[in-house]
Amino acid sequence: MSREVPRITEQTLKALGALVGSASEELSGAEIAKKTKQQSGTLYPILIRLEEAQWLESRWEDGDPRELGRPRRRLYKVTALGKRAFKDALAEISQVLGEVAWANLS
Amino acid sequence: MGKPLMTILTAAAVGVLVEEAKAMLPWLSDRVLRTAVRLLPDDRKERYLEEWASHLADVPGPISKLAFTLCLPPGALRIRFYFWRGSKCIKPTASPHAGLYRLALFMLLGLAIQVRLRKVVEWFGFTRPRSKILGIDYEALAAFILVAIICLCRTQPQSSSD
Repeated sequence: MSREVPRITEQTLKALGALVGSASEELSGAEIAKKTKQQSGTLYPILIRLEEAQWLESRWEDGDPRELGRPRRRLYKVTALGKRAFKDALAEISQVLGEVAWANLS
Repeated sequence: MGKPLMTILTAAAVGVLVEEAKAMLPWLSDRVLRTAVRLLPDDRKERYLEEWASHLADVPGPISKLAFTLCLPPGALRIRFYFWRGSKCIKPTASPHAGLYRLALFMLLGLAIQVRLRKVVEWFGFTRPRSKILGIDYEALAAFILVAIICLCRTQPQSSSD
């Protein structure tokens, strides 16, 4: 179910960037938190917003919690829509930065 | 004689208290995590109980674990607010006049705030003549314009079909 397009904040970009730039396709919340250095109270609302907007998708890791000896991790993966949104946001930021740099040079 | 004894007793008491606190930290982390889960919408509780418990298991050290769980309740409230706001704003966008209703609502809110502020100012004994431009109270007009701008600048939900 997609809702509104998520606001592109620094934290949103960090969370998306962690998933886009990760060697493994799927990351758990703990791994994203470690990569982005974000607190749980900030990260999970972002992940929910991105998932609701279909920029991310998630699934439970394979295996039974009793066999694993711990609760199952939820694994997040960036979708094609999320990758495109991330690239668009980066392009927009670099354009703005380029304009600022040109303005300062001239 | 008294001072060394007191030092030893204090050190022992502190040691016992530290051990007790250490033993209580995992229990406390679990309680905070469950409290955070209780703040979530009903259909999300089960998922996040497991997801956050698995995240908690990956955090090293009892103090870091507690710090992790202490950040969860504000996050849970944000998640709850997000879904509450979503459930509220999906319905109006289904109507073609949703923007108009929202504008009217914000204008009424602006008017109410403006009237209340004037009452508060008058209550403190400050009275001033009401300035008008072409017969229109400019303060009310400014409040209307402000709320209209806020209303129009609000992010509109993109899709309401799904």
